[in-house]
Amino acid sequence: MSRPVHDRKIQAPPRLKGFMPVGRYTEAETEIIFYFEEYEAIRLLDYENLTQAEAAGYMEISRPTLTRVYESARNKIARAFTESLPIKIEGGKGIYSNLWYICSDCESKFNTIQDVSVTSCPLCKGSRIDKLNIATV
Amino acid sequence: MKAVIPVTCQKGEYLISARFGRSSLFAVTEDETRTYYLLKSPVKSKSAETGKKVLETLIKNEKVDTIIAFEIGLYVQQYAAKTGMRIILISDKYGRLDDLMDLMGMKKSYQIL
Repeated sequence: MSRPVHDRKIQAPPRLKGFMPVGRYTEAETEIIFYFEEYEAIRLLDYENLTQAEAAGYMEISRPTLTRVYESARNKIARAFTESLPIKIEGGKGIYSNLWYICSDCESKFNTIQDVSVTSCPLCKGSRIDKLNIATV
Repeated sequence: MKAVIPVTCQKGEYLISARFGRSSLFAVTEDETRTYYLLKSPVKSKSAETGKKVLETLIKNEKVDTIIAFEIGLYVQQYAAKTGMRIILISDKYGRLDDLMDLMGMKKSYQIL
């Protein structure tokens, strides 16, 4: 039996659910599934310009594991660009480093302060809120 | 809750800025009075970690305890976590400051520019 994959820490939910190519009609089945940890690896290494060691520290994984995640992310982006395929951010083994909530009314996402229990959205005061334990958009 | 929101002005309209540190204006909301006011960015330089410096100044001068934005960078996020600030990431449908203030039930009090 193979060793179970460890959870990878994600700092915050991504702003978008994915990307669509411009000027081409695509079927939903052809989309590329981009895992949350792959999004986080690209964000930390290529957007925040961290070193692989620093990024691995934030994600609480080893540097070789980060390299593999990063390679996979780069391959998926290259395939999406070249074959003009849509990218959907979902799945994987990402978990948030803090407890995040989503409000169904205003669609905002917010974290908690020092484990205080949350009963309403701090923005719209709506009560339809859900926990985001596993990384989701 | 006293929240800070990065704002940009385009053709006389106030929009939520996509980048916290690079934002030229900030709206500060006050829950008690249900009002908000606008401030110029307290940090002039646009070097690395500008967002963190902005947040540091706003916590000290305005006593803000919440950040409301589309997204925030790693340094701002880490500093917010360290100081116990709440982060609220809003949906793209609230691109205009007026729309967000309507949602929060805030009225403009005064403007410092």
